[in-house]
Amino acid sequence: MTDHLINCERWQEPISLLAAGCLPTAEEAEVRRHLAGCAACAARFTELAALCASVSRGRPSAAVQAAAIRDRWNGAALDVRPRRPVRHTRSLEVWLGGALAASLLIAALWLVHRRPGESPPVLREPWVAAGGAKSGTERAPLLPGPPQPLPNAPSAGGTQPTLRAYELALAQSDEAFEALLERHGESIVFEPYNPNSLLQESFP
Amino acid sequence: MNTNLPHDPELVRRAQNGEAAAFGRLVELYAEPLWRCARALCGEDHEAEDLAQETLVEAWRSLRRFDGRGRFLTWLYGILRHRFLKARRKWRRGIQADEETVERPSREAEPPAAAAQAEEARLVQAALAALPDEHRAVLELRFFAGASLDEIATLLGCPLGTVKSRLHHGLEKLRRGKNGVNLLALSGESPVSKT
Repeated sequence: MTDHLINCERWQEPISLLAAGCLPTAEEAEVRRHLAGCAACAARFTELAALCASVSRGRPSAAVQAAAIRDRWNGAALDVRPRRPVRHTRSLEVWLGGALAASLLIAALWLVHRRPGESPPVLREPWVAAGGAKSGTERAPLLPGPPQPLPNAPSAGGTQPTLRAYELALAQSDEAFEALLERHGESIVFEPYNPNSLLQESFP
Repeated sequence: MNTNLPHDPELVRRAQNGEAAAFGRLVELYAEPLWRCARALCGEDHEAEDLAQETLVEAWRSLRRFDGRGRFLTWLYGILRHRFLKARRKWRRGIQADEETVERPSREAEPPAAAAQAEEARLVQAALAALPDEHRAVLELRFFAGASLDEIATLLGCPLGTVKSRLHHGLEKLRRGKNGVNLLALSGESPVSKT
């Protein structure tokens, strides 16, 4: 008996399912082969099959209840209306509208930012054109005014000295620089940006 | 079992188009298996009747949702389980069924053969009633309502493997007669092994 318990443990549930008539067909042949070779399992199967037949026969009659349900349904049928099918068109319209609006927004943003073949605008700082970097405190307005004639060479030919003129005066002597400042104040007119002239001045 | 029930897509289609008579025919076909399932779930006759009735009303109201891919009865089982869970919450709030109502209608006027059959039914029900609820429900659904294992899993909301296990253990308890009712005596079999 102990050997039967150990060896046939895995067959217990399939045998119960077979007796209850709900073992998959694919497994049935294997179980029946085991039953043919195991007397203890075969005896158990016989008991279970008889038990299942007894339970099936002993099922209570449901005729009274079924009739009552039918009667109640016939009485209630006139009062109950089937629900209308759920309409999905509204939600579909909302989704389509949202998708269209999102597409238009993305397209508009793309058009605004798209400049094929054109680099982004760069503001050239005038002191670069004038011959060198300056500290933040000396920075002049970004957009230079119109070129004005300077009296001294290398001025631009107007009344205001150029930055180059101040540099030359400073190289000459402090007094010349001071004199230039006294004459023209601190207003410096920047020359228009000209990379060639800048190179010539830097590397004469 | 349920496989004997006709599967009539045309009847279902007509009912889906609002033909009340077609659904009335479906009610005639499915009232009994539906009641048996409800009885297996809730374990009480009158509650089962209410449950089956509510299931049919709900099925009629939402009939257009049935897509015809599975069996109509399986679809009804899904509604039945939903209604059962709702009803169970209500019962747990204090509306308990009267124990006296479990008694069947009087059988005093039944002929002897019918009386013997009724006696067997009474013993079977007593044996099943003594089982734990989870085992009783599976056995009733299988042998009284004729539900397949998949349908039982749907109705009970548990995995297929659990259904198989409960069926096996429920049968084993009945076979051993540990619940005080020896059903094998009814079938003329004597227990040969108590494994």
